[in-house]
Amino acid sequence: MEGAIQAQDLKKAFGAVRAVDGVSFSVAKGEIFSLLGPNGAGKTTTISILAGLLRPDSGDAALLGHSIRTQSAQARAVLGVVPQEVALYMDLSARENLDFWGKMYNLRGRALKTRIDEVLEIIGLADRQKGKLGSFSGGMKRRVNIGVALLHKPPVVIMDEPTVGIDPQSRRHILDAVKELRDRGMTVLYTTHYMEEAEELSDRVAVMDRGRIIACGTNAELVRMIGQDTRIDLTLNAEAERVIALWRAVEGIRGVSAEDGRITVLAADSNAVLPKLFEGAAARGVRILSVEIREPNLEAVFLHLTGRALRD
Amino acid sequence: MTVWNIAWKDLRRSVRSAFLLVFALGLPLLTAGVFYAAFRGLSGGDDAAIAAPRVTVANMDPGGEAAGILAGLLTGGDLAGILDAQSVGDPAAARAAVDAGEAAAAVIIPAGFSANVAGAGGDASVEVYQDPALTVGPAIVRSIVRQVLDGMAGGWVAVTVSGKALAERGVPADGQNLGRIGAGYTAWAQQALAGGTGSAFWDVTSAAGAKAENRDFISQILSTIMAMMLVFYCFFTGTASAQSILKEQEDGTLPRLFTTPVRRSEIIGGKLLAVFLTLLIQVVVLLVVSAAVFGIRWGGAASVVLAALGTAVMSASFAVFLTSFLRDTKQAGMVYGVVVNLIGWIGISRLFAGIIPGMERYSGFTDIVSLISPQGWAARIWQESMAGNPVGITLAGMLLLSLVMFGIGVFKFNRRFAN
Repeated sequence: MEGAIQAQDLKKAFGAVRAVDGVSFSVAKGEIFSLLGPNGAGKTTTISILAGLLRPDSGDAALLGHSIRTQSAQARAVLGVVPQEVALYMDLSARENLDFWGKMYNLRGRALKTRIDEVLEIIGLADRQKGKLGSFSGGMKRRVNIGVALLHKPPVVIMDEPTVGIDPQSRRHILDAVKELRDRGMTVLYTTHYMEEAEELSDRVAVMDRGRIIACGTNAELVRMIGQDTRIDLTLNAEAERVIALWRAVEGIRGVSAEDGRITVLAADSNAVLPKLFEGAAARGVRILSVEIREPNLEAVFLHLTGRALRD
Repeated sequence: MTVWNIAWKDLRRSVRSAFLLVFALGLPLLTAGVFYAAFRGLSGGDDAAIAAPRVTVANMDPGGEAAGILAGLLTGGDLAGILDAQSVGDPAAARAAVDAGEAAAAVIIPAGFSANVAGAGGDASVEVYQDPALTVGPAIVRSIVRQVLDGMAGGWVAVTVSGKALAERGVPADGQNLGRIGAGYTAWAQQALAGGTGSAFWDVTSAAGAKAENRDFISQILSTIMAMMLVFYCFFTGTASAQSILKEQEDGTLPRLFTTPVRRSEIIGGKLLAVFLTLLIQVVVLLVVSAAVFGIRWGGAASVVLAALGTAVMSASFAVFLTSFLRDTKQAGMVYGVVVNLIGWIGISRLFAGIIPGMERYSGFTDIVSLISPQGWAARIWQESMAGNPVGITLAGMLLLSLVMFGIGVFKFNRRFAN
């Protein structure tokens, strides 16, 4: 599969701080690729380099084969950028904003007008196109912010934490829009520090910390890489001692512990062991009152790799 | 094309900015309008709009003919609508009335004045003692006195020169002949000063002449004030407009523009074109409105066009230059306020020197000092245009200075936005 984005050993320092320290990754066409990491991990610096805002100290990257160093204009022409903050003119209407930005991507005349109409439909603001952006809600501004990046139908879209600070409804709308972009064949590079977003959206995830990519792969690959078990928390209507010994003997269960009336079972595969837990409890006349399954996630991956929580 | 798209977007935003509109057009026109309303009576409209200034007259040459004419003119009824003059016994009393705020000015005619006017060889000057806090009233008094003295000096020169010429031709220079010459000069002066009215010479200088003088003076004040407003606010508008570069940087729209295929030089060029066009619109609107509403005479068409272009180019270049040294809009707010005000006042000091009584003696100094500021150059070109003088040399100086400032500004912006 031909790569839409190829980053090769990118480095960028601001004084003594190495914001990006040897970042390499490849994104396939039509893929949603997330850079996941806490604030200050180097995500924004990385995409600023790809968007042509910053020149890397060393290394190079290519967008659809166009080097950001030697073919900067061509690289920028195939790219749509959604900045983290809404970067639009609040004293212009939604349509006027789209019209101006469309011209910056060399769209003119009827083609521009038609495309603006299409984008207004995509972002669901056709009926508010004449409203001044300053009068829009935060979520509506975000949608126009995304719409601007889609005007010239770019094959590659970079989105820098587009859901920061907005209401759940607008966030849902944006996440659905990102999936739709992929369905239309666009390649999306998405940065976030929300683990749930990365898990929901991404075909692959690169976990960043302190300017480096510390892990990269699909969700399942990352979880497997750290080898963590699924955790099953249960509450019973009787003493835990009545079932613990029996459960410990079940194949696939790696550990059972009890604390404050709650039993925690660690297993490689929750689907395989759950029926046996219920059978064992029934055999001992014990009722299971509640079950909570916690699959290992990217939060756990980050914690495992760095010793810190993602939101630290 | 992209440069124009960026400039057009900025222009559209400027037109929608109430703050910019008030600063660029509202305040300068409002200020000129206030002065216009205040001076309208003296400029030929409602005579009651401004009260006639009170004047005390001390004639220390009571038997002299010239002194009698001057004192009589000032205190007689001919100037009743223009001056409220009162004779006093001595200079001290005349000055005391001014010091006490009871009179705007005192006219002191020294002893021997008439003899000196007639060629005795002494100083034929008249002292006008004025309240330093007042400008218009004393200026009217000075204007009338000066015109009378000019007439007297002209008459004496005419009689003296003609007498010598008569003597050289063997014609007796007696009282009859000299009187005829004097009458002839009076008739000529009447034509020259009053534009051919049928009034006698002294009537012209007293009533109609004084009003004409007032009209010219008020017109000069209004023109100068409007020129000050034009220059002063153009430079404010320029900086406010150039500040959009910093504002767009802070709002993230400038970095976003840098992610488009548009070259950075085109983006900066578009922003700068917008600054220039905003200023050009401001200058044109102010010129047209002030000429139509206030009757300001800005000069010949070619001079006005060149001066307008020079002012817009200079203001834009200065704005780019100054803004290129600034980090953000917070810093810009402070620096613009201090720098533009400070050098603005230095620049328009040359205009003040022309309308504030007593400042004339400093006009040489202010003419030179004002040129250290860009506003001084802009003020100079409008002075020249309004006076009907050529503006080419000043325009060349403005363009050269603008080129230097623009070059430095663009260089610094290019360095700042290089990735």
